[in-house]
Amino acid sequence: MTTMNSCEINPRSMTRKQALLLPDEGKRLYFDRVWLKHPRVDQTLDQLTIHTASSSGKSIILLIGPTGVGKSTLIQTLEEQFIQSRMQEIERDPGFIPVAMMVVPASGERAFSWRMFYSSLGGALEEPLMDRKLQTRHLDGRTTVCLPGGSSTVADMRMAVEKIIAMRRTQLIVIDEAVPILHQASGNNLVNHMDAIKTLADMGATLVLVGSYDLLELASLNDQVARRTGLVHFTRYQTGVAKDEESFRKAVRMLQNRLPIQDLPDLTEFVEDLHVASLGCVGLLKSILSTALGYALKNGGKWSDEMLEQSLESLDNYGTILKQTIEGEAKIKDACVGSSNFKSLRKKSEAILAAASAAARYCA
Amino acid sequence: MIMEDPEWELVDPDFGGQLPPRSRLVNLAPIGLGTAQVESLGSYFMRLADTHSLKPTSLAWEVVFPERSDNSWACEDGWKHPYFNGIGLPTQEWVSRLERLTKVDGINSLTLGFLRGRVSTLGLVSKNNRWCPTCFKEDAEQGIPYGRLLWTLNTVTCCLKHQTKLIGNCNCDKKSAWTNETAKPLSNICGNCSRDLGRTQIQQPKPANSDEMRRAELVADLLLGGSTLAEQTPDRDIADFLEHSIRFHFDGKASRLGQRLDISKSTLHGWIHRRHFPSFTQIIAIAESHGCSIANVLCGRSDVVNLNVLSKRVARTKMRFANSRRILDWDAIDKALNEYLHVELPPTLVEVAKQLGISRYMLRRNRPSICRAISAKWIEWSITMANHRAHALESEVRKAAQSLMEQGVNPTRRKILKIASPLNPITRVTPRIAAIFMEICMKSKRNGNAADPNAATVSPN
Repeated sequence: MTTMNSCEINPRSMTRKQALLLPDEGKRLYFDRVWLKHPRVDQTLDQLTIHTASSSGKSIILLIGPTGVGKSTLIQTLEEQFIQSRMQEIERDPGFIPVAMMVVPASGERAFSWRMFYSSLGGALEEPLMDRKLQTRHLDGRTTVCLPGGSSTVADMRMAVEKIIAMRRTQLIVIDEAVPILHQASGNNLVNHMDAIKTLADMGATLVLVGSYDLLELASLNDQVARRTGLVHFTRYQTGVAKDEESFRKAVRMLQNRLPIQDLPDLTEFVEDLHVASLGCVGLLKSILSTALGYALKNGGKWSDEMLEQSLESLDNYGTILKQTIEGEAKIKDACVGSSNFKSLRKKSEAILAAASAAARYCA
Repeated sequence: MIMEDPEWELVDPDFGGQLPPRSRLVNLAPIGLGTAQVESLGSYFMRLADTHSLKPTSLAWEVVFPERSDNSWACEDGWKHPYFNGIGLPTQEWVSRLERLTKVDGINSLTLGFLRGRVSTLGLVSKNNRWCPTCFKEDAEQGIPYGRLLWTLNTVTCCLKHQTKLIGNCNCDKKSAWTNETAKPLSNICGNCSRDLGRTQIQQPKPANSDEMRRAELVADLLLGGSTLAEQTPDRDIADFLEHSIRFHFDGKASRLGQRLDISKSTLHGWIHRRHFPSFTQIIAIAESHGCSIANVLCGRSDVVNLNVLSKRVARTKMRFANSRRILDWDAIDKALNEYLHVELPPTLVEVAKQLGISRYMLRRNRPSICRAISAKWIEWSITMANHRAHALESEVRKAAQSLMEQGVNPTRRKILKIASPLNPITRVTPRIAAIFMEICMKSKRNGNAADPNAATVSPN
């Protein structure tokens, strides 16, 4: 059996009928590569585009959303838009890399590996020989470089990356799955980590950190970080909200139209159940349908409704995801951009001043 | 089949593939492109490596020549030498690779590649790096210091901008102790002491003279038009220029142009028949002597020759030649020569010429008879002296033989010469001395008793 090449299968150019002729592996790949740009993506993208503009004054954007809501699709679309808007300049200047995307690597160790981080970032910026970087030293009128005994230090790599961001005129750096930066640091370490990220942002590029609600910690580290950080919440489709429910129904329909299964029943009959099971996240919905597709293909390409139920998350997993999502949504309510108005800011100011005066009275 | 919502889109998963390919290395713009102060390839490569925070060696080995071909000389440290910017084939390979990696056009303009096939490589680029400290200082104040292509040419010895001589020595002390640090590889950093070559403490550059400035101006003009020269097909070249020049300005006599350029006629013919190329210094001399640019010489544009300069230069050359000849007082020389003829101890002609301060060839050419007389007199005297010495030695030999025979010792050659000529007993045996030995020997045998003193008596003659 020949291995399918992912580049040959593009759901944008290949119809469902053509996909039905593919072998099972190709069908799976076809559905995996269906990336849906739904209205919530558009809304969040608009917010992101506004805040990533250099005039916004926000150099670090935290893109936060529940797991499976479609963050990866969103950043893919963001990259596409970003590149399209600068295509003329890209064609004119072959060294120009307007946007770099990376996934934070998990080191497998206790501490977060900045070496791996800078190495991945260097890779995203197409920078060669990240392990051979030299740092320039100016001392007593002499300009020297340290001869690397083995590989370069983290400081060398950081300075090299900073220099290359400036040289490549990179305007946007998207760091996906950014939560490991927090998980392996606490207290002062976390501040140090944020300082390192802030330095990258100071080179003129806007940093977009993508992750779940844990990223909220970063925004409230100190006033310096708070001033530079913008928060964009990628929300799910809520149950009980008519507009959201309608959008979710469309998402189910769109995905169903791309499922390469013969004689597929109308899945919109299960839309309410699917909405609950996927928490209104299109990514989770796709995951459920993808697993069901696997079952159907194993069954000779024949679909049954039981397969849909078999594909659902376990009760424990579902509970954990739901709990974290609801807690996160509660925490983020006042943190994301556009959540304030003059009245609410005045109220907040009065509350903080009252608390400060009470504390002062107590001390006296 | 349920209809799709046209408002909903699919994201292209292969979008990344649509992005035009980016340059592997930063497309760093060369400095001074299109001017006479254009950057050299070596300087550009060092700046490129610095931009990527890499050692130039690492960049060369791992990125430029990952397959590690025969270019090891240049990968290791060739980029820091002036010949890296020359017209060699490895340089062209570097240019094409760097253009591919950086997607920067015009890297070829950072080398002397446009001179390939037009000039000889001999003495084209200097052996050591040279620089103008004032230029480095000004560069640092205004932007980025960089090494100039102009400085790599052997014939350019001064900075055109500051009219001072280029410096080739930092006057620094060598690195005193081993450290894990090394000088940053950049054109304006000394490889030994890691200090800025544009610093004020360095030796003050001397002012350049007018000849140096004129040469530098000619070369700068050439660099300015370098790109156009490279684009032109060499339908006419220096051979055509010289041929035309000889025909129209030197009455068809190659020897006259050769004399003018201080080269032999055969060398000139070699150039005209394209058997070999003139050196860059000789091309500058041709351009100077014809009052035109180097590019005109290289492109065979002999119609632009400045006839006024040509005639002036001829006159000047002639005048210089006339000035260089000494005016000799031949009457005084004749008098002195006559005196030498009558001195008791005749000198050789070489000694006479030396004492008069004239070459012996000139003396022979101008006063052949008296020179012959001086030489003849010296030869006559030297023969007389030789005969005199021979007679003295014969006498000594006879005396020694007599003495030995009186003592009853057999007078062998060795014993005789040991007494007669103790300093040099062997080399002084001339045929005449040998005949005397034979005579002594015969007499000694005839007498039969070597110990008999009477038998050993040898007549003095």
